[in-house]
Amino acid sequence: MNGRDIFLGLRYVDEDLIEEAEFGRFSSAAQAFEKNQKPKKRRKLSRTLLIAAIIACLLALAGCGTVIYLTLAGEPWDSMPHVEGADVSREDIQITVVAVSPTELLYQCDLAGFGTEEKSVLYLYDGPCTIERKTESGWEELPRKIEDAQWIAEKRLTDGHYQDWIRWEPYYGRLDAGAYRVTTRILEGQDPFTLEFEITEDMRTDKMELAEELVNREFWHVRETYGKPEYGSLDNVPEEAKKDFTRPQEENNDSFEYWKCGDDYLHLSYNGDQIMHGMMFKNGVKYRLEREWDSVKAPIAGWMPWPDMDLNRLTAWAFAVADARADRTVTRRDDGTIEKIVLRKTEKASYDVDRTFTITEEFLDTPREEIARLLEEQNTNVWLAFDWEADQKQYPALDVPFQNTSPHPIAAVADALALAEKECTAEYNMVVVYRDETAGIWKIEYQINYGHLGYQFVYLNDDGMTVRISSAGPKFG
Amino acid sequence: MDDNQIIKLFFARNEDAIRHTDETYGRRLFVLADNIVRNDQDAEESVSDTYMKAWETIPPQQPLHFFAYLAKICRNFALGKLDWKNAAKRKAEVVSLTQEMEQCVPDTTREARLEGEELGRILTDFLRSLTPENRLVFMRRYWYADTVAQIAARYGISESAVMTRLSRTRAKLCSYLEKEGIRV
Repeated sequence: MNGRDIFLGLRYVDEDLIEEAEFGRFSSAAQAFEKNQKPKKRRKLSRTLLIAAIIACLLALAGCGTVIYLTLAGEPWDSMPHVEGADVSREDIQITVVAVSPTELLYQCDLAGFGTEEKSVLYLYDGPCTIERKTESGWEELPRKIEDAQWIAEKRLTDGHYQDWIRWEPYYGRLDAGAYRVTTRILEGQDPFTLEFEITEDMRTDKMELAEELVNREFWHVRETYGKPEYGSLDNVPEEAKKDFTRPQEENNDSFEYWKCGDDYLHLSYNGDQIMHGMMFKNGVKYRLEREWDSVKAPIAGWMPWPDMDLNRLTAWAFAVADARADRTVTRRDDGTIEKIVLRKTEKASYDVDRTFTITEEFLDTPREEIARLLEEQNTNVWLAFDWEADQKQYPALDVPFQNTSPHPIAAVADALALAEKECTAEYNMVVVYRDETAGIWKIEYQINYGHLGYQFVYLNDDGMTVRISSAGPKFG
Repeated sequence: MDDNQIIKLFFARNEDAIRHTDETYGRRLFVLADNIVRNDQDAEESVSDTYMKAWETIPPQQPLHFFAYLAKICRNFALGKLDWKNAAKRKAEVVSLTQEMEQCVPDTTREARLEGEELGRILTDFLRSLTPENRLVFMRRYWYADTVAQIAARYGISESAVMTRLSRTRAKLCSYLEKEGIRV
């Protein structure tokens, strides 16, 4: 299936949808929002969403730099009318800084007249931010620790007054004392907002001490478990919406496991016993673990290398754990090392229902040698299957000269990668290796912005000679 | 003249049915076809072919959604006239559309082969899961082949707002298809 198939497949959608699009207007949620513009009692709603922050950091840590829409399962908003940020007038939005630390900033957003009776939902945008420091010559952006991270945590707001955190630590680290400003989007469909703030010398916290303790460990084995959110009384919740509070978390990763040994590490996420995703840094190469979707009994399809790696992604996890704005219980062993951290956060869900998240971090006593062996045993000489004949039909060959014109037999994935790299002209950020066993052809797929902007394909035969180069996607028009 | 009256003319084999159809929906159908083929003559032919097809099929068909019935026929004719190989040279919007749609294809279903009607069912279910506004924007873009500027003007929102909605909806479709891909 390709993009054209989907485009053509639209011919079969129901006719009422076709007529709705021809004659319909922005009349339901958007207009309802406009009609609801009236003064209301202001009530502060803390929406720190601990889990969103931590998962977002985990995703950044996991190198998932592609755009990720993070929706928390079981959120009780699905049956409510939605309003888009684009529907909100800019002058109705007021954003102020409430608190600042070297790693994050708490802001308050007031939306005039939004969603009375808390029955409307607004999408919030929690994505990348830009931090600039004030200098004598003006504002200068700080160097980023992660260049390609771009994720979106999709939150939903049921009241017009809320507080949330902008966390820049994964991208910029902890800020030194000075004057800064942060620019981030906050509301989809709106231009970014810029907030100025100041960092002072006395902003160090015990959470940072804990983070540094985690970061500085030479090896570790951690199991992280997410408990199902617990809800308080549903007495005041309409029957129709109650199902949203009790929906099972079937699609979610519910636990994670980390192994670190020196510079190398392995990270897997699970849903029950099922491995869902993974990433690894081994011998200087970053790998992503692909789940075999069409065969749930064989979850691991292959390790696919990424070209770059920033170990700060790993340390981001430690800071996420330590910086969590939650009740935190740290249990230590007799030798002072951490045995367990239990994080618990209670906040208000919609309809004023209490919702409690619990996350448990268990620091296992796995010997360093065992962790090293586990990492060593991960087989990276694997690939996905593809159809050489179908690819030739689907992707036209580029009329370019080849670099690999003399035999260099390919014995392993690493050989194919090294040869294909000579041909690649794309500014990629991910590589996937395929092979057609029957045809004896390797396909190295270079993804531009994780494929969102396009692909370049380099095809090699078993002798290591380039036989075709193709491209696809918007980047190549 | 409303839809029921026009359909009655079709059933009566009264050729005024064509004229009234053209008066009521001709312009809309032309815009739809022209968005796809980017050629006035081909667009006009698509609309004419649509009227002939309607004449041939009503009766026995008695469309519940008359405009959608015509629009589907017209879209198919227009797509049939489209020279896909040369579409890029003619700057046809459909080229951009298929490229954008490419972003909706999860790797896991890239190899899947779906019957059109099955894919249509999946897409219908997906569209019904969207907010009304996002559904309108998505359909205008990918069913009617409107440009982003046309959509922004139609709904009185900024082009960036349109692109934001489309981008998010495409990502949702990708993940929706990925889930569906498990069982197709």
